[in-house]
Amino acid sequence: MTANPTESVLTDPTTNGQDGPLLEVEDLFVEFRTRDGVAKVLNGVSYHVDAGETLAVLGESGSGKSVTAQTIMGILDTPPAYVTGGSIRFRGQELLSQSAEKRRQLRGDGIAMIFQDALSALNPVFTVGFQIEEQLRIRKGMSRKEARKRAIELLDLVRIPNAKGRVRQYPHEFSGGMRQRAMIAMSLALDPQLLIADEPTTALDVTVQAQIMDLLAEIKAERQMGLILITHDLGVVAETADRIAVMYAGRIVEHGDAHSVYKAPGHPYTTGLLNSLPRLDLKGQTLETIKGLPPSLLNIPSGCPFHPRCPKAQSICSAEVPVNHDLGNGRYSKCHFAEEVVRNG
Amino acid sequence: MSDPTMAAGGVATEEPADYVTGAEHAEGTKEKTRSLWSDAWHDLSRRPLFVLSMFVIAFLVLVAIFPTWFADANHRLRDLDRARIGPNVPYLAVCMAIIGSAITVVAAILATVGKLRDGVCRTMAPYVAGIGGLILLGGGLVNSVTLYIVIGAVVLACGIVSGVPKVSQMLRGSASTWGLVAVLAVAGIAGLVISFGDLSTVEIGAAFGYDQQGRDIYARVVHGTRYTLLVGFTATLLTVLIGSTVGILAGYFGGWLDNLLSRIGEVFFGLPFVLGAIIILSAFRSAGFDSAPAIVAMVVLSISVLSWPVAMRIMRSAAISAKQQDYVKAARALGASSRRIIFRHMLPNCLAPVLVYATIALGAFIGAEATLSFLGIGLRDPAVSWGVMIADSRNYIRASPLLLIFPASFLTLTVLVFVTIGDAVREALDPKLR
Ligand SMILES: Nc1ncnc2c1ncn2[C@@H]1O[C@H](COP(=O)(O)OP(=O)(O)O)[C@@H](O)[C@H]1O
Ligand code: SF4
Ligand SMILES: [Mg+2]
Repeated sequence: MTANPTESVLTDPTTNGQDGPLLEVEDLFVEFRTRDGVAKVLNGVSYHVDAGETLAVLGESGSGKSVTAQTIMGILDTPPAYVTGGSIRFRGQELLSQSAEKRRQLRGDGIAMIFQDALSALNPVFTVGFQIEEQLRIRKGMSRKEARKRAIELLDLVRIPNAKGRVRQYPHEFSGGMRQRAMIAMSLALDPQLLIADEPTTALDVTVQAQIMDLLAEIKAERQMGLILITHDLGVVAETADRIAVMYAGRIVEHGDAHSVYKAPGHPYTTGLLNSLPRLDLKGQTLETIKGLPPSLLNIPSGCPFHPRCPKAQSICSAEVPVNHDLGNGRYSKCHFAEEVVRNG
Repeated sequence: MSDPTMAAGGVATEEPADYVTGAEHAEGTKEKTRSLWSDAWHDLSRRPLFVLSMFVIAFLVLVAIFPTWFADANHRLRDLDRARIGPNVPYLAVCMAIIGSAITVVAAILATVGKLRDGVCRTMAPYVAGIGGLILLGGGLVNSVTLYIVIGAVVLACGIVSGVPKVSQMLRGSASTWGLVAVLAVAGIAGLVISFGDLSTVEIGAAFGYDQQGRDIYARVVHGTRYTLLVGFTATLLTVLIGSTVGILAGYFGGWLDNLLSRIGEVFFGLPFVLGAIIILSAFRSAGFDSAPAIVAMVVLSISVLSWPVAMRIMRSAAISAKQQDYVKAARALGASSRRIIFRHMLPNCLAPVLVYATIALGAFIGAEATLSFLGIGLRDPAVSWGVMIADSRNYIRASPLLLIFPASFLTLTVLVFVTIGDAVREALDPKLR
């Protein structure tokens, strides 16, 4: 089943305690069969999350972060999307072989997800309260009254002022930040153990972004939830993430604890991402951007997929696919020169 | 290198714990909440033509349900001795005068309400006065009653003048509105007094005359309302029901199911309407369905069978765009079942375009029933509709054009009213159709 067994070493043995990680994605392959051809969107993605831990998934848009999340949730449409290999284990149970009905039961209850644009992720024809209560009534068998009470508690929990009144309002009557809070409240309704937040703050302005991130971090800690934080913004994760997985062209090119990855990235792509970010500690810097465009997934470059854009590329890079280099302490990089990159930046 | 947490993440710590701005607090205390539908309704209830049309429909529905309240003559009674006797013009004139005067009084009341409380009543008053004036004027003209003509002309003039946007703005809230109210009230009451006085001088009954078989045309028009509306409403309901169900399933599930359903829809859509209806109806006709309900059911069925693909296409494209919305993904991510997603989350969001289609289709289907009846394959005795009456008149169009004109004017008016409603609904919902 695993198409490329040599790549499945990403699972960190130190976190693989007696129970194993909360969620473990291993060597996941997904392709979209479209009229233009087959887009190989995921090419062996592996990562894991533990309870009470935040994993940040970084990468430019189009690198497959959302597709990975939606594959975990099981909400990709087939066609056009096909899972062609790999495994997803939640609390040790394989999800990909489960029945559709069983996977549906797990959504919301075991794993929940929040979306980038809360305005479009909330149904415009129902009140915010209704959308929270609906799950409680159907999945938990609560009465209308109990569900309403719980919905108000949840809105209170995400610090929506005047929750009693707000519960009766429609999404368009909420401000952007409050909508995202309502979305978070909705995803927490069934007490999931894992929350996937797909760019939860991209649509918001900077101050509100920070508030939402704080809220997520706090709720995660309180409930000992696993949190997968998807973003293309390194600044957002600096405070919240325990570990970072950097994605490029449908694979994890670098993985490690947040602190060391920031301090000394092990992959030229990560270096590029970090350099494209304004840093408060380096005054008078010039911002660099990564040159070139992300590769077409219909036609991924040979060897290291990053080589057409990589400033450190050598001839070996276009010829050989780099394996996962173990850099110690659970750090991995898929670069031929990983050790050198860590040492010399 | 440097401290990782400094990488632009510092913003978070500088922010005070105050999570919500003052403006958001204020917003939160607002008592009334608005949904798409209540927004649209709010908008519609301010359109005088829409409100007026709704009253006309309500009246027609009342006539359809209780025809005997409006016509006591037996609409089935044939008496060849009175075949094609023309309208009872003096009685018709008095009746029109009474109706026109009553409507004028209503206009005066609306203008008064509009003066006290600005709203749709104020904008409706000129329309209502215009209609009252026209009917009065018409009553006067058919029988050359000078008094009716004068009163009618005055009321009509009031309606037109007060309806001119500039004048309407000027009158708004101003004391001169009382002048308008006075003129309308005096004209309406005078009209009522005079016409009720005239009522005793005329012979009562058969206002529209008799048809080629000596049946009371007025009674037939009144009783025909029932079948005309019945066919229109049920055909629309069935069309929308079939079309929406098929469309939303095709749009949600996509793939081969969508292909299959779309092709089936195209087959029916490809059939020319009249030809298809002729084939279906003549097939059933020879099978001998002769009771009124069976005849109505056949006509309704053939209209719906040939029209549902339109509703399906509208629903399907609405469903496809709704399905790509994040809220459907979000509902799935929260573990909602397909049935729940389709009927609870997508359907209300897809309803607007179908509703617009339905209101316009209603008018069209009433017309279609008339067409089929005219061709001799639609309704027929014992079911009577305006279309049947028009069909019956076809051999006498030159000799007795009134046989055609009475049912045709009611048909035209009704279709017009439904189309007006359809237009208003579309405008009210359109900006939110996305
Ligand atoms: N429905 C789809 N059909 C075809 N290609 C898709 C579809 N959804 C996503 N993709 C492709 O998958 C790639 C990864 O998308 P995504 O996971 O959304 O990226 P991101 O990392 O920005 O979240 C993109 O290149 C996109 O073109
Ligand atoms: S393998 Fe070569 S091309 Fe790829 S990131 Fe490393 S240096 Fe760059
Ligand atoms: Mg994305």
